[in-house]
Amino acid sequence: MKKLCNVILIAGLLFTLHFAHYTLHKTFAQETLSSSELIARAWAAHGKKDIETTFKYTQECIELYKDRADKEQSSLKALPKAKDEIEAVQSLNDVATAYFIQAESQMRQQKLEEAKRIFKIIIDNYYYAQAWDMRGWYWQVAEVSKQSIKKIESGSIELEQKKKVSQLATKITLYDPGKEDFIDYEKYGEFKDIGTKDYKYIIKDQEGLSVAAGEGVYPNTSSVRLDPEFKKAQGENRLEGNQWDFLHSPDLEAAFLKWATASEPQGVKLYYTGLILENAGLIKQAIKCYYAAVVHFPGSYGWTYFKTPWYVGQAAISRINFLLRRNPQLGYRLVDADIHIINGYDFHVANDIVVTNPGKFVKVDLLEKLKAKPSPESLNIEKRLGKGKVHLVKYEGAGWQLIVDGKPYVIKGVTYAPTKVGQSPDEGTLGNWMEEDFNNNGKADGPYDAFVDKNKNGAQDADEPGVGDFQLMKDIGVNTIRLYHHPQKVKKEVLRDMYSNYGIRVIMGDFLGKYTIGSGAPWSPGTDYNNAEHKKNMMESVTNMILEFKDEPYILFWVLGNENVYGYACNADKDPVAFFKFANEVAKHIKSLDPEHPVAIASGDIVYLDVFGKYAPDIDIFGANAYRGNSGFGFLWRQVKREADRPAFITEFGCSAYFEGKSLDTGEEYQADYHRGSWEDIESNMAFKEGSGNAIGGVVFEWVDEWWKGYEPTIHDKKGTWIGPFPDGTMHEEWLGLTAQGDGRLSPFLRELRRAYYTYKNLWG
Amino acid sequence: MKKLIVVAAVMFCFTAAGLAEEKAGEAPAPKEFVVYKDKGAKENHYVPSGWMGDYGDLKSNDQAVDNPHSGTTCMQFTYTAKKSQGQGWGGIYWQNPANNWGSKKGGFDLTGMTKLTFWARGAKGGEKIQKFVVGGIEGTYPDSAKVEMGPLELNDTWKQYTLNLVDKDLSYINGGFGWTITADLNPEGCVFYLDDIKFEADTAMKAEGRKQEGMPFYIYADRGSIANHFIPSGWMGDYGDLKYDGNWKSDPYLGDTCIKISYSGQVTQGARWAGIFWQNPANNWGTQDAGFDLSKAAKLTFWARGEKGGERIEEFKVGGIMGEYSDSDTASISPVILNKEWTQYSIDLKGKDMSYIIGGFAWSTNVDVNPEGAVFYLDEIKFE
Repeated sequence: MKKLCNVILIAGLLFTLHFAHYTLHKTFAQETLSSSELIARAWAAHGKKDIETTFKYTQECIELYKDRADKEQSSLKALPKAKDEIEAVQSLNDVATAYFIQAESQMRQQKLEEAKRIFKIIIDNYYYAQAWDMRGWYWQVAEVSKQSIKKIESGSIELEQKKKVSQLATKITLYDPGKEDFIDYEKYGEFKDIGTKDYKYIIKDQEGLSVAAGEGVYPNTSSVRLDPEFKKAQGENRLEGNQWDFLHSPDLEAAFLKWATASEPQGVKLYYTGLILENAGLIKQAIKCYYAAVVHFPGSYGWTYFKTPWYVGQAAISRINFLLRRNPQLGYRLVDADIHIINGYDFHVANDIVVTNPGKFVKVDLLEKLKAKPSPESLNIEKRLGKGKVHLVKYEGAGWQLIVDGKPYVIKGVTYAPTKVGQSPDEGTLGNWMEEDFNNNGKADGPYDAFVDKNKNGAQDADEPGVGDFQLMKDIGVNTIRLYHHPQKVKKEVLRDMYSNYGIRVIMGDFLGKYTIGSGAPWSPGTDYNNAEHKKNMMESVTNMILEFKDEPYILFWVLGNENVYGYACNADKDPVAFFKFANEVAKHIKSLDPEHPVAIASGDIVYLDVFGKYAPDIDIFGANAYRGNSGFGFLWRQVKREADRPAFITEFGCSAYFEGKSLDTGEEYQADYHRGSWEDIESNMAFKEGSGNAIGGVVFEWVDEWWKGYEPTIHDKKGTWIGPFPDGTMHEEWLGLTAQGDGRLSPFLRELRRAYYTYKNLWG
Repeated sequence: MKKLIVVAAVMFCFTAAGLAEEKAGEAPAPKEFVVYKDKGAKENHYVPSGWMGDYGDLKSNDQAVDNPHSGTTCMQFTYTAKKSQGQGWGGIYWQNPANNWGSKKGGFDLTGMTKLTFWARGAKGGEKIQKFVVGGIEGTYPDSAKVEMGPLELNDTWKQYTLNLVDKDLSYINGGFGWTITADLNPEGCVFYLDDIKFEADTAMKAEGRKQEGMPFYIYADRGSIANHFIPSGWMGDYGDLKYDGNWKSDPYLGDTCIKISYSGQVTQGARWAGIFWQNPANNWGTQDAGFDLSKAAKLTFWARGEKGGERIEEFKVGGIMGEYSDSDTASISPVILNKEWTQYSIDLKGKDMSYIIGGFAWSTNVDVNPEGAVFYLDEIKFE
């Protein structure tokens, strides 16, 4: 997820200022602006409620690019999927967005009929247009236009989503669970060239392997067809529909049967069949599915919502490890399993080379746990990064630790952005939580006056005193918050108090040209990491940050960028070498100014991790925003170790507490489970643990729900914004908080503590 | 009613109503129902009016005197294979009334008949008929059954053929008889003869179980081979990115031709992938009951090569079509990186239920692994 929203107090301000500044300088130039540039300016004007300028830029965009947009629309037969395909019809995307902004502006002026007329233009003429939202996803302009019309006509923004597949709640009863729980593959075939790109498993006894594997597990494709439930489900028309719509159906039996017979690539099919079995509690059969994907189809891949490759074999190994960790009664562990995808960090799969070791299942030796484990005292320090009060050490054979004031420090972080309900950067109303004092008691509202609505009655009762978020965070062990871009309006005393009285430090960041912030570049084509002027501006921005904050006691370390590798108003996706080389220059510069604190990068998952490893040796810590599901972060840790040998942390991770079709209570349970799995994975990869030994913590996204992310800042919007590995398969951006804001009336004070809050109290407290 | 029966007996000819009435009445059930006996024979029913496909390639002579099987005339058909209408195939249906494609009530109630027999010969021998068929006309008034046989190769002497109709619902048959022929099977065209086409009520006839096909069972041997089964009709994904040539003569693995497939990777339909299913009959996505029993198959083998070498086919597959009539099983290999030289691949079918297969063979690939597209060749695709 790419969240400009996380800029916290500076998001709206800085972004608006940036464009205002840019507009000022360009006013006298009469050059033809790109459609994207016009849209960027139009959004900025719309945010400032400058109607005249909004219409000036949108109309210019329409007049200049409409013909091209019409041609692009007529050239399409389907909604573009890949990023380059979406960008190839940029005129279409921008002209539709220009109409959209006009309609939004008309709506804001209560010219509702005119707004509807314009929304209909989009729906009728530009239905394949997509726009990039800086919150981190593409949205279909026509679909959102439909929602807006719905809102005009009914006051509600929730579009009815008719369920496309069976919703009958069922359990899975396997007709043929197979003869072996943990298959001895040596019996049925031959492993060849293990640990090389030529790895393969040659089946010698397909019938025997099918009998051992059972229903739904490759190569057994017969049993599912003989399953009486299959005929029954067919007869009841419960298998009608697309297999993808079954993934989160309560009809688990139908979902299993559908996926086990689906025409999908075998690896993908096995993974999702396994996932459905897992959801049904059939853990052993699920493990068999996952492992079949590893053994037979280790290089299988899919695509994430963000158009990056998703490697099924790696995910399957992670899922197996997760299940074995969660189910110790099974008594097995998977050893040596590894799938390394050479060239697997870019956006392409055609150049991939897959090196596979399927590993093997071994019975857990109970005596292992009794063996003495190494400790920092018993091991030599192999490497040290930095010499200041915050630095990093690598213990020989045990991994990395962050050392703060002489002691190991695990980052138990959270993103803190207690946005008052009703505020939105879209409307230029985002406030500054360090300053806001709506109750006029001389103290910042969220940090000091937030109260826990224990009985969830939407009121502050006598036994619900204001305790403040800082205290609530301290209570569960939070020791760090992340600020995405150094604030221009900061109350250092608030941060100092947060540190001195609550023990919470700050990871301070600079966007390093992402969304053009700090680079002075125009929105389109955006920051160019080969451009001397852009680099000079960014270096200056970082220098300002260092000089302003380096002596502040709460600084933990510096973080550069935020998912720059995905591109969007910067060219780090197209020229990652230039980006990481420049980031490395910046890191060296920081250290020349401040030897006391390390430097980290906030990347987008593991995209271009190999380039980072090669060109950024002076960046001490690899950080990444990663949303990979409830089992943690998969191969991320071992990949960082392999490509860069650096300590790593997760700069953003989280899960919404809303689960479509289930109760809010159930949604909270799933959210808590997701967090527990994520943290267990982080912890198991810390130094002296069984994993890769390079995890130093993570930053939860986020502390409290923000209601502006789904576009309507006064409504707690439930709509899904992007598809991902979440409990119901969708990200619900406004439900990510460990705490909620109730019905919003007592925002920014009211807090409802979700289950995930208590999960962290157990894990961190 | 009695009067009608008497009249029918006197006239000794059937109408649809007559046939039905006799079933209900006391008179013995008719033993046969003639489609064609001789030119102008009073027993004849149906009209050979339903010309299909490249109708410009067809000529018909219903009073050929050149060595009829019996009587004075037989039917002669000439097929030129010129693809006059660009279809690559042609055929004729015997309909009642003429030109009835199911738009009006007609047909006959042939309940009680158990087989259709006919005699056929080729002018030279070796003429290949794609299909002989009873029923199968759709529309507002669809036939109540469809039974097919073929492809088959004719001799230069008369031979009788039989379509088994036991247990078929023959209560409404508008397309009494028909045949189709293709340019692929007869590239130079052909001449053939039919005679003595009739339905018979043969009580000794037994219901035809789905017979297990013998091995090898070819999907593709050569262009026009009578041994070929399944049609490469199931174009999937970005079908606009595909070109199929089943008559590629340059460097086949065996025989005279091989299959050349070109995948452009242009994402014409926006799917980013494409593939072809070989189906029986064409375009059967599980909607027609027409699976082969390939239980004797232990594997499917085929030869393949890439134009450049390195082309990646994501999956080669047998079976897996799901519908009202689903394939009984599926098996696949994936992914396959093709060599520049002909290489044989095998899909293991041991332990698989091959008793009902509509989708005999399929391949699929995508633009992500073939950004520049791919050209590849297939030959000798067969079950063994």
